[in-house]
Order: sequence, then structure tokens, then C-alpha cells
Amino acid sequence: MIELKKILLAEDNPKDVELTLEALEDSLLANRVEVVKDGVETLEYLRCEGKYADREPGLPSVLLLDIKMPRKDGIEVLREIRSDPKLKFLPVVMLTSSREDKDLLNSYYLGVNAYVVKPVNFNGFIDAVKQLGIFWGLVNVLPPEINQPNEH
Amino acid sequence: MNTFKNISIKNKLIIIIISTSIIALVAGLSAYLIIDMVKVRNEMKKNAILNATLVGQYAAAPLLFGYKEEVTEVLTKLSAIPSVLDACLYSPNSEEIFATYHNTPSTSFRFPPLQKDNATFKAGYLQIFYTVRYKEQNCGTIYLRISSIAIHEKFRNSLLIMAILVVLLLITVYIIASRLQKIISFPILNLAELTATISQNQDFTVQLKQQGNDEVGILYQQFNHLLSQLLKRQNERDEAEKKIKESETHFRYLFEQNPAILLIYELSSLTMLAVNDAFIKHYGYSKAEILSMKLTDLYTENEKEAISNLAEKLVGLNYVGEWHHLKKDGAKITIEVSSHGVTYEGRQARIAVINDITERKLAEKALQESEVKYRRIVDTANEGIWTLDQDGRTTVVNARLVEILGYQDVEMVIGRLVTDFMCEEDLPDHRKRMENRRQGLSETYERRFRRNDGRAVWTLVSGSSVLDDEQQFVGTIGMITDITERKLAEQEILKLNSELENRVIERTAQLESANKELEAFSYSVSHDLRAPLRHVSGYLELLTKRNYEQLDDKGKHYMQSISEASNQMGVLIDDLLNFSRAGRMEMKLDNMDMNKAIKDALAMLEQETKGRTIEWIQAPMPNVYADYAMVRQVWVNLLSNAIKYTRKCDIATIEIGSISDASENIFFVRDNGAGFDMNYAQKLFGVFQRLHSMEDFEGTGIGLANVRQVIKRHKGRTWAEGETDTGATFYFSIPKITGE
Repeated sequence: MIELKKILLAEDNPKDVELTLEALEDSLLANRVEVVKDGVETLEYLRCEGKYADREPGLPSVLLLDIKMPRKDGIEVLREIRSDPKLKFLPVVMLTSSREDKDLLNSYYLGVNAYVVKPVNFNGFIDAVKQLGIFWGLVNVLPPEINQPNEH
Repeated sequence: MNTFKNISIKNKLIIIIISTSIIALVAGLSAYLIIDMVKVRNEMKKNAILNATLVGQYAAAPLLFGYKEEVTEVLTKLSAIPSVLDACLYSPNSEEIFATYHNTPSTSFRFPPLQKDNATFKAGYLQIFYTVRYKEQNCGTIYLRISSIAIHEKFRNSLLIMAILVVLLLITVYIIASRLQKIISFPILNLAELTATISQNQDFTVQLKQQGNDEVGILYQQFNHLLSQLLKRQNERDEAEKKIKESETHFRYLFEQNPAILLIYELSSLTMLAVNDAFIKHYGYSKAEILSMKLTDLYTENEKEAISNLAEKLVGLNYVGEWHHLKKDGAKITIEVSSHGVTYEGRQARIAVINDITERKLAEKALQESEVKYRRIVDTANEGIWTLDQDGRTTVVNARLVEILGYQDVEMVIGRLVTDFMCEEDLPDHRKRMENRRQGLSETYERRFRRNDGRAVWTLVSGSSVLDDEQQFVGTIGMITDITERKLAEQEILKLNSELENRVIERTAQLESANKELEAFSYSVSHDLRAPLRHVSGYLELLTKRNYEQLDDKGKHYMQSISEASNQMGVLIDDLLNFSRAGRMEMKLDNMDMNKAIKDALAMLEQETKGRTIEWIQAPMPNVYADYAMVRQVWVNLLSNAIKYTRKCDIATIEIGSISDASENIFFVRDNGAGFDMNYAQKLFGVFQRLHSMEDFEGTGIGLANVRQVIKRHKGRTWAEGETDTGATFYFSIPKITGE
């Protein structure tokens, strides 16, 4: 049996986390979401380090990454992921309030898989997150390396 | 004798031959005749003596015995000899005539007295005295007178014969001489004749044919030699004559055709003898006119006497100096004359070369005037003038330069090296400049000089090289402007500039940091400000979803208001961020198609024009040099405004146009919408400035601020005209690029 993979949400703002989870509730994806609170935690989770040293191994199907986070921001996290051989194929979607050219260019330069600006309008936000969850959590096919550890 | 000289050689020869012959003949014949006559007389004498002897023999005895008759008898016997005219016998002692005989008895002849024995011819007869001897005894003397007529006759005959002989001989001689003389005379006559011909025809090419080696032959030879000499001489003479002729022609040509004005006048009378073509051409007189004039006629009234006095005394080659001549048309010219004594057609004359220096004089005068003028300019110039020779030594300066250098007198500067007035550290540059000057380069540069009082004076030097007629460098000339004050000002400016630069750097750093802060600010606005807003609307949505039905109407209205407010805030934040971004964004300037920008902008506004009746008036637009995306945004903002504010019109009219002048393109959007009060026109383009209520026309008040910002960044202008409820026109301009 193949277990459905997790969706990793890197978001420091609990309200955003709540609203995001709310949005994913409808698609029954909310229970598969793991939340990390900043960049450092994100990388610890992915590398099974620190407080995630004992977690079940395996990479999430997608990382929904906020840019502006404490300690280590999303851009730095993305750069480390892409330079880490074990992580470099991980699908990363920027989910951010920033529409700044600088962030867009940096993200795409570092090989982001998608960039989604959180709409101010809640319905828009719900739609966007829902679609992200369905696409990356269910539709998208992952490369073999990421798939492997989850197989039993 | 002269007559003889004049007769022909032929006759001379004949005469000589005949004369010679006659002389010879006559001499010969005469000698013969004389000898003959002597012989005849001697014979006659001999015969007479014989006869006398005979008579004596016969008469000896009678005589001795004195027989007179006997004796006479004997004597009578003499009659047998007719030539004996008379005879007698003298008695031996008495000298008396003893007996006589006469051939002719009637004769009156008287016997001469007795003489000693002799035989003597007397006139017409021969007389003989002969002593008759018998046995050694004198028997008397016999006398005979014998006629000599026979001898005379014989002589006469002989003469006659001789004369005839001479005549005959002469004729013969003449004939022979006439023939023979030709041998001598012919070559001579021939020579004479030939000579005559040669002298007549002057033809020395003839050569005589030599007849022999005698004197004539030698003469011929000599003559031929003479002829060839003559021929040679003649040829030489001809050649020389030809040369003389040629040279005369040359000289005449040289005179006539000489481009210099030449004239010849007689020294004593000052009469004009000849002038050349150049003279005629220059003076305008005809040759005939000028040759009837005197030298002095050419001169002006007050110079006539002087030239007349001078001209008479000239000898050899002279420079006669400057004078004034009058041409035929009365024009006065200044001339220079040089003349030389010559003999012209046998007359003592002078040839003069005239040089018209009128033009030169005028030019000299003009030059002099111009020199005076320039001297004045130099002296009064506000700039220093400084000329140097090729060694850098001062040759000419003006008062101004002396003043600039702080001296009192020009003489304190003249002759000094320019480097004396310079600072040590400027010398390498000075040498470089001087080298440029030698290359013929002119340039303007700044130069510091040391004044007399030791202060430095800063000058602007415009240096040029001075070249002589052969383009050789002989020195330099410099125009020197005192720029000390300017220099000080410049130094001040430099100082200020560097201060300013520092301040600019400082300010730029400040600005940069401010910009960075602004960036951080807008970043955090875009991120952090939006998050709570999103949360508000998010939770509001969740609340609506879950608890909407539990709310009363008021509660529902509040919810509605919260929602609208948060939406409005979202739009405001987005607009503000756009505005801020537009101000910071890098411009990509290019030659852009304005028509396409408008078309794109209208396409973006499609949503807003739906269901509207809008009359578009649109003219073709010129291209501009601008950032396409920014300008398109300008059109979006202006057009969306126009669409928005004409919303209440039944038929909206929106005109898009342009006006161009030399420096800029002006674009405008005109509508017939709500318009605005011109009193507030200033506020239109400010951020968040709105002239309409939110209820009438929604908006954030960012659009026009954005337009102004973009146009400002393109160095253009923005302004608006309008009237409430009539419409508005929004203008912006983009400068035309020049030189890019």
C-alpha cells in the first residue's frame, strides 16, 4: 500500500496557517499537512534533524513555502534545498504575500516550481490554496528518488 | 714709258719680241755691214796701194831719170782704172809735183802737199801717198785719189738689202711673235679674264686648271690657293655676316619684344630714337608720335628741367631713380629708370629701362598705412602681444604685455628670453609648446609668468608660429590674456566643486540608504501589511460562512462594511505599491510605437468599456523614445480615468491625440465626462488626491500620481485642463531626443 505523502507548510503566522488549513479542509488534505514555523525548522524537518530527528522518514509531496519568516527566510531555504543533493528535486511552491519582482526573480532563479501570491480576498485565497493542495498533493507525479522512502 | 705699261701683254710681248729682233738684226747686220765696209775699204786700200806700187814700179825708172813724159805716160795708164780720179807724183827731193793725171781733165782738183805714206779716206774718195822706191832709193812719192763712190754705192745697196731684209724679218717675227706670245700671254690673259669674272661675280669657288710647272703654273697654283683663301674668307665673312645679321635680328627682337619698357633717346638732343612694343602698349602713344617727341615730354611739368639737366650728363650705366611720367591719356605713373649709354645708328644715345612702380608705390603706401593701423591696434590692444625669435628671445611686445608682466617700460622686456619670465616647473611644457610651434601648430593654453614684483600672473596664450617667405620658422607670436582672476575663480570653483562632489556623494549615499529603507518599507508593506488585511477578510469570510444566519440585519451590514473596507484597503495597498515600484523601476528606454501602447492599453481596459457607448476619436501617434511598459501604464491610467468619468454620459466621447513641436511630443486624452474644477487642477496629480467622492467615482487617487511620476522620469511634463460637468483634458509630454 502506498501512503499518501505529506504536504509541508512553512508559515510563521498562525493565522495564515489556520486559514490555509481551513482552505485545505474541503479537499480533505488538511490532515496531511505538516506545519513548520520558520526556515530552520523547515530544513530540520526535511533533513530529519533536530526535533524531527525521530520523524518517519520520507519527503513531502510539496513544500508550501512562505518567504518572510524568522531566522531563515524562504529564499534561503529554497537555495539550500536546491543545493542539497538529497532535497534538490523536492517540489517547492512559494506561497507568499509578496509580489515584489526581487522575490519572484530570486525564486525562479533558484528553481522554484510555482509562485503563488496569496490573494487578499479570502475566497481567492481559498481557491488558490485548494488548487495547490489538489495539484501538488494528488495530481503531480514525483521523481522516483522522492517517492522511494515512502514505499513499504 | 707709261703708255707701254698700259698696252696689253700680248702687244707688249710682240713689241718686245720685235724690238729684240730688230735690235739683234740691226746690230748683226750693222756689224756685218761695218765689217764688210772695213773689208771693202781695206781691200780698196790694198788695191790702191797695189796700184800705186804698180804705178810706182812702172814709173820708177822714168822718175829716176826724170822722164816726165814717161812718167805722165805711166800715169795715164791709170785711166784703165776708172775709179782713180786723180794721180800725181812728187819729186823725191823737192816735193814738187812731177807728173799729174786726172781722170777728168776738166777737174779743178788741186793736189795736196806731199805727206808721208798713208792711205786716208776723205769725203768721197781715198787718197794714198806711197813712196816709190827703186833699189832702196827714194824715187818720189806717188799720190792717188781714188773715188770711193763704189764703196758708198755698195754700202747703200747693202743698207737697202738690209732694210728689206729687216722688214721681211720683222714681218716674219711679228707673225711668229703673234703666235708664240700666246704661250705666255694666254694663261695670263686667262687668269686676268678669270680674275675679272671672279671679281665681277664674287665667285670664289672656281679653281684654275694648272697648265705646267713654270712660273705661270706656280702663279696659277698661288692663285688657286689665293682663291681658296678668298673662298674661305668669304665663307667666314658670310658666316660672320649671317651671325651679325642674326644677332642684329635677335637684338632687335630682344628690344622690340622685351616685356620691359625700353626707350632709346639721343644724348645731345634728348630726342626719342626708339621705343619698344611694351612702351607703346604701356604709354598709349603711337610709334610715330613718340618718335617725334623729346624725352622730357614724358615727364611731369616740375620734373622736366631736372631730368633734362640730368639726362645730358649721364655716362655709362646708371640708376636714374624714381620719376613721374605721363601717359598719353594723362595718367601719371611713378617709374624707376635705369639707363646705359649706347651708340644707336651712329648717334650717341642712351637706352633706358622703365619700371612702372605705381602699383608697388600704392601697395607700399597701403602697407604703410596698414602697418600704422596694426601698430595702433597692437599698442592699444587689451591683450598682450609677445613675439619671439626662434631662440625664444623677445622681439616685439606691446604696452599691455609689459603691464601684464608688471614692468614700466617696453625696453625692460625686449631682447630677454621668454623663459626668464617663467617658473622652473613650467619649462618642460614650454619646450613642448615651442616644438609644436616649430611644427607650425597653433594652440591656446594657459601659462603662468613671473611678474617683475615676483607675483605669478596666469595668462591664456594663443600661440602661432611666424614663418618667413620661404615658410621657414623664424619665431612665434603670442596673444596673452591675463586670466589670473579667472584662474583664482576657477580654483575657487574647483574647491567648491570638490566640496559639492563630496556632498553629492554624501547625499547619494543618504539617498541610497533612504531608497533602501523605502524598498524595505514597501517590501514590508507588500508582505506584512497585506497579511493582516488578508486575515481580516479571511476570518470575515469564515464568520460569514459559519455564523451569517445568526446575525441580525445590522450585524450583516457591519460585516458588509468590514468586507468593503478591507477590500478598499487591499486596492490602496496594491496601488501604493505599484506607484512606489514605478518610481524605482529601472527604465528601459527605446524607440517605441505609441500607437501600439495605446492599443495594448485599450485591450487591457476591455472589461471596463463593456456595455458602454464610447465614441473614440484617435489620431495616429508619433513614436517616442521611452520605456514601453511605463508609458503603456500611463495610457492605462489616463484612459481608465476617461472611461470612468464619462460613465454618466449617455454617449461618451474620448479623444486621443498628439501635438508636436521641435522639442517635444505632447499627448492628450480628452473626455466629455465629469470634468473638474480648475481651481483644484494643482492637486490632480498628487498621491491619494481625489476630486470626486467615492460614491460618485471610486478610486484610490494613485493613477494620476503614477502618470506624473512616470512622465517626470521621462523628463516630460503633465498638466490638465477641465471644467466641471463638461469634461477634462489630460496632457503629458515626452521630449524628443536630440543627438542620440
